[in-house]
Amino acid sequence: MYYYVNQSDDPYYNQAFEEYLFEHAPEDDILLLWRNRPAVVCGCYQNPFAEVSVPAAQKAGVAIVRRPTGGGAVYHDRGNVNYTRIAPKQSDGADYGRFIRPVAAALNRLGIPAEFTRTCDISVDGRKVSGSAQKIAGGRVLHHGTLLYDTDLTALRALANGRQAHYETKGIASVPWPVDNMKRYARMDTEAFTQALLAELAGPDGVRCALSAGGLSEVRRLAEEKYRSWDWTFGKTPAFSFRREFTWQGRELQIAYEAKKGVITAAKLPENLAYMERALVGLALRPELLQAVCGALWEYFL
Amino acid sequence: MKNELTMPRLRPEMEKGVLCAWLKEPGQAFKKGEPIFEVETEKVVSQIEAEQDGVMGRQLFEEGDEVAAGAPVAEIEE
Repeated sequence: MYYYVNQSDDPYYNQAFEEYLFEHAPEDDILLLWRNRPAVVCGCYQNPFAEVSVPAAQKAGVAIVRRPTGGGAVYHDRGNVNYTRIAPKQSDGADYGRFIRPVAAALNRLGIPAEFTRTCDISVDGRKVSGSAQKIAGGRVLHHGTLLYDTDLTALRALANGRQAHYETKGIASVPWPVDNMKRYARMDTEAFTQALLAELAGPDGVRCALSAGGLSEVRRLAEEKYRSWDWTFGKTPAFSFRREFTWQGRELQIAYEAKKGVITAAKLPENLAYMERALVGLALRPELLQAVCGALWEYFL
Repeated sequence: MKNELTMPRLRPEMEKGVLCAWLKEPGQAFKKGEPIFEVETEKVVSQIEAEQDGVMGRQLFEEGDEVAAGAPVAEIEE
């Protein structure tokens, strides 16, 4: 097995690093462990507006990221260890056991009573500690998963708790499930756990690899041009309808709009706010643009 | 001659999948082996590659639609 080391906690850079390995690394059995600072990471074909409250994430300083694999939104922080495996594909469809069983076994050796459960989870005492997803392209499979070790579960539940009610949308829905951390079983800090897991997964014959300066520069370009861009994270959103009723300064208000690729295509506001409708049509659903049109009401549009 | 693309059955038990992205627009030519659309099932995004050279014809589904395995998803012109 070949392993790469990436110490960055920038969620956009880390997604780019992983994609670069998937597309370009020559080795055929790759392992990568990585951690993000607080972020909600959405599936490739999700509606991120519906899966995470953009105003709440912005207030909490939590990044919103779109990854290239399937599945639902997950919360990451430095107490969550992500593992990535890249290998030749052996089947056209999901192939989870091949990658999850060795991780569950490694966790067992570290004293954690982990089990491979459902389609692509790892659980401890019936609670999910790991979810995973894949992308299959170009004859290879990219498998990655989270490992909740010492994550802020309150933040997780607040920010990644399933689809928000006021969205009617296509795209893949998240499936919230009871979760837990693993730290109490292994009794070491997250960094020590990461190193111990790397040693278990890579084994004594693991070969450390590193990207060239050119490769690292390509990762940085991909991070900036793709993963940090509004177009990738929000502009890929399938068409959706939004409808919300709420009380504002003692009045019942109802707002509704349609959006396509993250841009409002039609809006219906109460009579006293109807003057905003024209400015909203054609507007990208970006907090700063909504704020410029709607003032303090902007948060109710997301 | 017209032919068609179908939703592949990626695993024997697969009943349906989400056609999440068209990678070729109608009228665009593709070569055998090039990725032409993406499907999501069970948290896996699979790129589906062309089995022959062709030109993308009428697409029967929009991105985000759920499609039964084996059902036609687009016409192709050879």
